[in-house]
Amino acid sequence: MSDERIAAVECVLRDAGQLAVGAHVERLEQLQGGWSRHSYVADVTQDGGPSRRHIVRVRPPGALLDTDLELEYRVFGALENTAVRAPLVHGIERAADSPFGGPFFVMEFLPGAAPNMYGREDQARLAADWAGPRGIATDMVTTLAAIHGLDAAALPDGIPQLAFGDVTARWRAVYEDRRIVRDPVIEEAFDWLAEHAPADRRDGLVHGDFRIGNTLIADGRLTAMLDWELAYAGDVRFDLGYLVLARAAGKHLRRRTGLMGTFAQEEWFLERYGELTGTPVTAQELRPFQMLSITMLLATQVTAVWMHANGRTTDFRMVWARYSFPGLRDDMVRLMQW
Amino acid sequence: MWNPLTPADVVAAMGDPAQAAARSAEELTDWERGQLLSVYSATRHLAAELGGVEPHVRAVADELAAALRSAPPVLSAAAALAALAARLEATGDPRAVAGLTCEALDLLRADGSASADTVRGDVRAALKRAVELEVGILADAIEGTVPA
Repeated sequence: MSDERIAAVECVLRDAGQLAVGAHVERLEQLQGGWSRHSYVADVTQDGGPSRRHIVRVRPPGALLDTDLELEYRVFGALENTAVRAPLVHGIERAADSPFGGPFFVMEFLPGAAPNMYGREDQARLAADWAGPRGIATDMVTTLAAIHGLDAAALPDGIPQLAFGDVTARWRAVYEDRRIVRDPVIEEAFDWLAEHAPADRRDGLVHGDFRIGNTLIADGRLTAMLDWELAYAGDVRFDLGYLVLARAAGKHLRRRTGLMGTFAQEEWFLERYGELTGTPVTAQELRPFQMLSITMLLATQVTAVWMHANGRTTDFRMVWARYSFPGLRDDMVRLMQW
Repeated sequence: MWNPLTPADVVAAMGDPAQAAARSAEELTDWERGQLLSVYSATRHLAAELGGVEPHVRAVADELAAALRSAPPVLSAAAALAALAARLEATGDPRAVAGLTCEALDLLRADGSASADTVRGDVRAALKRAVELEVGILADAIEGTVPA
């Protein structure tokens, strides 16, 4: 890994008071995965002693989604001293021409691994938790209720305030701007959304990508909720609609587990969520939010394909994204009850 | 069925990661291995798409065309829908089928009459069958058939 990158990380840590005199970054290694953010692990040591680990989160050039890294950094900061488990952030480098090719921030490393909701082994592990101690299921619902119950005053300045119609318009604009092919099912779904917009509102902090794959799990408990790049202030039922999607339960083409999000029975989760927040929620009222979630997923896949087709990336996963469409169209058709 | 990019585009895109891996003198990184695994997955999808899905495109186009031809002459867009039906009957390109269907739905939405809604319902029914056909063929090939 380049010396320039190591020096840049050390500079941020030093400015944040997180790098003692004589300490240095011994190792900087890119972690696998990441579509709109790249993550690196940085090990800091001093005089050959035990290392202290940090995570470097980068907004790379040509990121899949045009999301604000600084806002994500400030959301993490706002979560400090709340009931929401998230890493502490140390400092940020805002320059787009950093040695990483984009702005980055450095945050605390927390133990745990993110489950792969598509993997059979992780699905089996999560099913075993549900059948047994339910530590993960309990932490997931407690965390979501805590996020949605945060005081509005605690939310960072500049966080987007988006009503249901605003979110719909956002993903429709991405579809219109980036589509290579007009899709009659997607366009009918946008029409359906306009007709099924909820009459009421339940405002709070929306995570925007709340799923088991964006958590860290260690010893059967949730140690952190990650990936806040899509967070906004709006109707919190978006997170619930997203979570009850078959996709969040590891569906690519066919549903593979009866558990919502791969970790809990849907009725249990919604009932517990209602108890924790004091406001019951029904599966029926989540249908528009499910559809909105699918349009978000499709907008990202449309963008992925567009980026490859237009020479913005050579990442083959962006081509593979075209195979996400059949399963998501199938979900849309079911929701519209054709 | 009418997914963005053609099968030829997908095959062409497979070349870069395959060549990069073949030419690498060093052990592949996790990222490079991930690219090759995505290529492998795409080959399986592509085989099912070409062998199982694409042969149905003409039948889907004909079913959509028949739905448009059922529009009563009193519809303001009846002539335009008939023209779109003729174009559907003449194409075997799934992405053209999707585009023409979108144009038809635009006309039916703009009309908004009960007759237009009936035709729109027929179009939706044909689209539903196409969606279920594609996802079923791909799922059988990629994820295995559902046990009886």
